[in-house]
Amino acid sequence: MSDTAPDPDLLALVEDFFGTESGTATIAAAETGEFPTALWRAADGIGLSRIGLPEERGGAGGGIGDAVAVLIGSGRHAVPLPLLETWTAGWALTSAGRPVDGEPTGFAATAALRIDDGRASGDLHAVPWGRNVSRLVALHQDRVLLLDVRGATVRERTDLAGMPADDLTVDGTPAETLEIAREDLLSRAMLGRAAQLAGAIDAAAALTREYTQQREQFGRPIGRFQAVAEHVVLLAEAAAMSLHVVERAAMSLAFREAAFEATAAKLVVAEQAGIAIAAAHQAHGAMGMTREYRLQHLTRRLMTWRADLGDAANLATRLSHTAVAASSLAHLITDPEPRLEPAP
Amino acid sequence: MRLAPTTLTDAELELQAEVRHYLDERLPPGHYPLGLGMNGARDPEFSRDLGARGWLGMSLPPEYDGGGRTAVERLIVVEELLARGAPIGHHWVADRQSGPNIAANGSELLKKELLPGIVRGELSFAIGMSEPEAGSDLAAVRTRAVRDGDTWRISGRKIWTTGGADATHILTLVRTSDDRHGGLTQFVVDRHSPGLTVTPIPFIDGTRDFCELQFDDVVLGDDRRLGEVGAGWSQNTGELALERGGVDRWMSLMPILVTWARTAGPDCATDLGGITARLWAFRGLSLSIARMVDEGASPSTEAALVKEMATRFEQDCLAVVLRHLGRTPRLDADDPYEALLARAVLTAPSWTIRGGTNEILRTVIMKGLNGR
Repeated sequence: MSDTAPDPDLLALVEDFFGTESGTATIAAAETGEFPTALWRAADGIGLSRIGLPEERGGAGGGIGDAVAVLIGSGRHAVPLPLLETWTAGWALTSAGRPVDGEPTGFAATAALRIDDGRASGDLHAVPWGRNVSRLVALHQDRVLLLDVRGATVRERTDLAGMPADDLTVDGTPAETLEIAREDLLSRAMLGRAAQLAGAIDAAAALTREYTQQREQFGRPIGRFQAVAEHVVLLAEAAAMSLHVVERAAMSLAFREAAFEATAAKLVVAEQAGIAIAAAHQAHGAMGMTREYRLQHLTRRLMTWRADLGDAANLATRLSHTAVAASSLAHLITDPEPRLEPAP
Repeated sequence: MRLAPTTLTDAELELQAEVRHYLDERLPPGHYPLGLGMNGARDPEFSRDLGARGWLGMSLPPEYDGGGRTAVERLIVVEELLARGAPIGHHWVADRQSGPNIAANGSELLKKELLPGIVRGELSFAIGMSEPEAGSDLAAVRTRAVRDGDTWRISGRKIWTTGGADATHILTLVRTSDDRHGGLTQFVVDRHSPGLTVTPIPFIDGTRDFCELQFDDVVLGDDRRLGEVGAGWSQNTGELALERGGVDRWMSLMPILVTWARTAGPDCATDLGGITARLWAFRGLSLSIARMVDEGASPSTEAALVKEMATRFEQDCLAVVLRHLGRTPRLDADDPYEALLARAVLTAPSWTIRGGTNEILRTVIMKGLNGR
């Protein structure tokens, strides 16, 4: 089976574009509640909001490895755009035979709705970028719905990173069922979030290494102290493992539905995020605790994203059912195509 | 640092199935002594059986009877063995470490003499590296070899040599000049050489596999020298570098975890799921490193990183299993898995020490990060 590594030109483009365009000022401005429209248009203009989606349905082409590369980059640069949500929703739409456009699209992982005659009423809790989207894809029981939310009542909320996470109430809004499996959509959403987490961990690792080489105390760079260097190593480990499991799950999802790998990757990366948050802040001391310094843009996202789409207990419980049901735990972890057992 | 994901080819999956099938028959549960990963029991007959199937010295060159196979193929065999806690003690060091070292650095004579026996599972190696004053600081080795015409005379003391008493050969690192790194040379010593005294050092769990080696004017032919005079340090670091990323760094507890998973109740769900995900992750990392080795890369920083993380993970797993057991396991329990768990409790601190302490590994990782 081939490596599904993304196109090197795309990696360079992503790094260059986000590195240039997603500066601290841009991120801070987005935290005031104003949608960075210019940034979105520029990202969409080079296809970053539609990558990994088929061109015949309005996507920018490329595979899941390419989409994951964009999402890793968006995490690395704390990009204040609904890229994960738009990609996830876009995958649902195109898989169900619908087109995508260049507009931000929402994704709601939990919905408490009543559906009557193709119309939905009820609440959508903590919807990322809810105020900025006119339609969203929602998981509702075992179905995947496309909701028109232009008429929704929006209660503006923010997540720990200061990004929109709004509570929406809809009353009789048009709702269409997308004929795709809920599980497959959830796998992609988990992978996408894990990719962003991995990117942010990697950036926190790089920033911390750089900082500890430059910051001097007691007459030498603090990175020369073994106790401080240990934090740098923990971060490098967290980054290496996170990027590996994300790429690996993406490789599996490129060929088949891989709910086990997506769940395991999300769980592993979320745990590494916790380690990375602690190590990066400890190594930075008070410097990392201020809004003036870049680290918090990364760590606040890690703090927000790690419990998205299932916290550790939830995901681990699903994997444990699979482990108990397996002929052997050793066989499960070496199985080239492990299957996630449905929750009992 | 990129640890690229990889998957097994159809041929590799066939090997996995073949090994599984064989071991299911050769090692029926309850009929072999359970071991903790690389500390598996010694069973020369089992080692010879593996050798007969071509599963030892797999990556050694065919001209010395080696399998000429890949690091990935060896990983497939090793992970099946360790998952069962198989009795691999007789051949482990030779298969993992000494064979590849001899193949890479040995004279034609040494290769012809030793590699076929390693491949057949007949020879058993132990490593004579550490000394009372040279543990993590290996370059402080004092045991000295003095040249005397065509022979060398070795005197000194090596400690913490696992399997020293039962091995057929000792691969040792000794001082041949005062140059700190450039004055070290490796030799292959017959375990029963006159002047070599091997004394067990009782280990923390009461086993007697750990040994002290006393060299009293042991005379060796120059043909016992492995590699150039003074090349021992770099050979030795090379030998350590790649074995660090192996599956043995996270599989010590595997037989216990497999048993635990089978019977785990709902109260174990969060822990079992977390461990499952991390086992899956570490397996991917080890496989990635093996693939890199097969592609000709030398991922020594990556391997150190995996070992540093994986050995702590093993200790975390032990703490979890113990918490769910809710009492102290007995070393003399009738249930072999409980007895194995008791041995794990006693020996787990060694997991983050052997083959390079985690403190040393972190230094290796930092150097690797800064060198890039």
